Amino acid sequence: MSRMNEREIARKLAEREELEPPAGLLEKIKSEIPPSIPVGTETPEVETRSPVAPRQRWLMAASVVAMIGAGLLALQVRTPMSPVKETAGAKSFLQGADRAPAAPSTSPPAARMNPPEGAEPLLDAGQAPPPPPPPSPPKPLSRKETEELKSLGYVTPQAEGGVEGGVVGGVPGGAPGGVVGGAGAPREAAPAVQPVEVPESVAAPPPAAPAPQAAAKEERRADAAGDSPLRMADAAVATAESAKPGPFKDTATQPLSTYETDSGTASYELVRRLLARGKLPDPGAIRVGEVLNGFQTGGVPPVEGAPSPFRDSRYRLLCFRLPAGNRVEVEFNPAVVVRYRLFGNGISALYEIELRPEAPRDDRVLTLRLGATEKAVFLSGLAPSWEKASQGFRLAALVAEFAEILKGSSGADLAEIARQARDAQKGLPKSARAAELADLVEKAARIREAGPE
Amino acid sequence: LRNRPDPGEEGRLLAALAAGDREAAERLVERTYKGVFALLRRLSGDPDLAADLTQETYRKAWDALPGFDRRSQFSTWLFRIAYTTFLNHLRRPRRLVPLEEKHEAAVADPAPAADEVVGRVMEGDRLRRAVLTLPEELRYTVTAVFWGDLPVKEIARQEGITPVGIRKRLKKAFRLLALALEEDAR
Repeated sequence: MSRMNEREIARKLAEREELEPPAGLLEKIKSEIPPSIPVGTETPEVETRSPVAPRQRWLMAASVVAMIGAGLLALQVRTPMSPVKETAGAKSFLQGADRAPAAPSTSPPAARMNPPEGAEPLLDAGQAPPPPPPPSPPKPLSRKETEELKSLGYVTPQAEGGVEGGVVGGVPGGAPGGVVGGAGAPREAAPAVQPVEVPESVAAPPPAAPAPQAAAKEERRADAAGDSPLRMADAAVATAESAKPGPFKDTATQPLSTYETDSGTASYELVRRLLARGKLPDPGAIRVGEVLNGFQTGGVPPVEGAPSPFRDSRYRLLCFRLPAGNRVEVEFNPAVVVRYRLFGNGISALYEIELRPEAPRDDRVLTLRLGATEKAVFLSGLAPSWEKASQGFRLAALVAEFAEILKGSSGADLAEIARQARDAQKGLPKSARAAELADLVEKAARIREAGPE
Repeated sequence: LRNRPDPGEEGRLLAALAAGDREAAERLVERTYKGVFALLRRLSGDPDLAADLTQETYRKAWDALPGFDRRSQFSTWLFRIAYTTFLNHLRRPRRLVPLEEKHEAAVADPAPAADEVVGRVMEGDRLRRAVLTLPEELRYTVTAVFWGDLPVKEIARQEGITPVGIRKRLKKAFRLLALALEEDAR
């Protein structure tokens, strides 16, 4: 059987059958309605909604695209015209441009809609605007670093045609000067940043050499279908979202969480190399699970939990350390756990959970399933305090928090992480991992303090 | 859920329910039970089982209603409970119904144009099984969009991601489904 395409699959999924409920079902359900039902009160959304309305986000994305396009166009116009500006052809072109200037006609409205902080005054109509500034603060990478990133699978071969400094989380063919985490020409768009909403267990690992080519081909095919402007906006949204923490999920409606154990360490290598060169990695390139994998230590129980040192007493961190290449199911008990989120999953997976205040200590927190085996985890089985957790657990929690800071999704203090890592080092005298973590955190703190060059 | 209940009307019924009006609960059931049943029927492939799970869904919903924060519509919230109820059912070995047996039951139906019906049932069942093998996030997204008829925007809000993220999940799910169906056909 030949493989069905997306449209066929969608059509089959959308096929309707007669699905009338059996007679008497309605009466049965009604008869089970309790005499009184308390109803929850409305709570405002604080975590998942962006303060910017979706329509505004689209407008902002479109403005950015228009500004970049206008800047590139103006640059193209300006460069060939300068040596021949006295010729008649050039003069008429410029006059024509004065009457209906492509760049000024698009860029000023865009600038009015979304004026950047500290923006320079708008240019005169005949004056070509400078190329737009790169949207992301990290400085451009050197050719050598680009090669390193490429070896780690973060830069696709197509990106080589782009700019000096490479493209991380961006697209090839971008503006001169390099764009990190930005967007360039829509035709070649190939989002290297995995959207954050897909957990690391579902998201593909960092692309190996052949995979990005196939992905890029597929993207180009899709672009040919006419959705490239949307893709530009998608990339902008995905990049912006990569800095958000993973959303908490309510156990009342989503008690089941699944992930796959993975032994990749690309993000760890990236962090180590870039920090050694005095640079912070691009937030979109960090996968917490891969950083966790770089700090595996012995003597850690397969399942462990303890209060979170970064949150109030309702929160616990849970760490599961299971063999790589397995699908793991975690079913939370809604009677004990209000909500949870998966920090990251490598060989170790780290969850943060919020407990119900009245949860009894001997109640089950969750059931962990691996293949045909399962294990119940009880509240009484978790460490009563952060200090009483194993050193390996504490190290894993610190690593995850460090990775979240690098992703830009945690406001924790780097100095505090470094101090705790030094503490963990005392309990792991034979392991160089805690010392390495402390070193890396201190480096990151110094680089951040120094600011971009 | 196919004929989407009016969110304003849902809100009024919930307010009435909170004020102690039991009839409001009955109105909510009348508005949603066909959609819940249809979803569970598609997920399970078994009408009797779907009816049982529909009842179980409402029992759970009444228990969980004090925790309903109204960030999503009532029907969306109910859909999630129905979906979870089905998954929990799958994990109960004693109640697991082998797919092959259900197949035979469907094939034995003496309807006209039996070959066509059998072919369609088998194809539908293969697709259903393929959907159930998807990773959790993708499985929920496909189920919510196609079998629950929930709007993408509403699912996105419930999942805490953007509609673009939901469309990306669907795209990935289609690829995996195509692969799974191809393997199943070999």
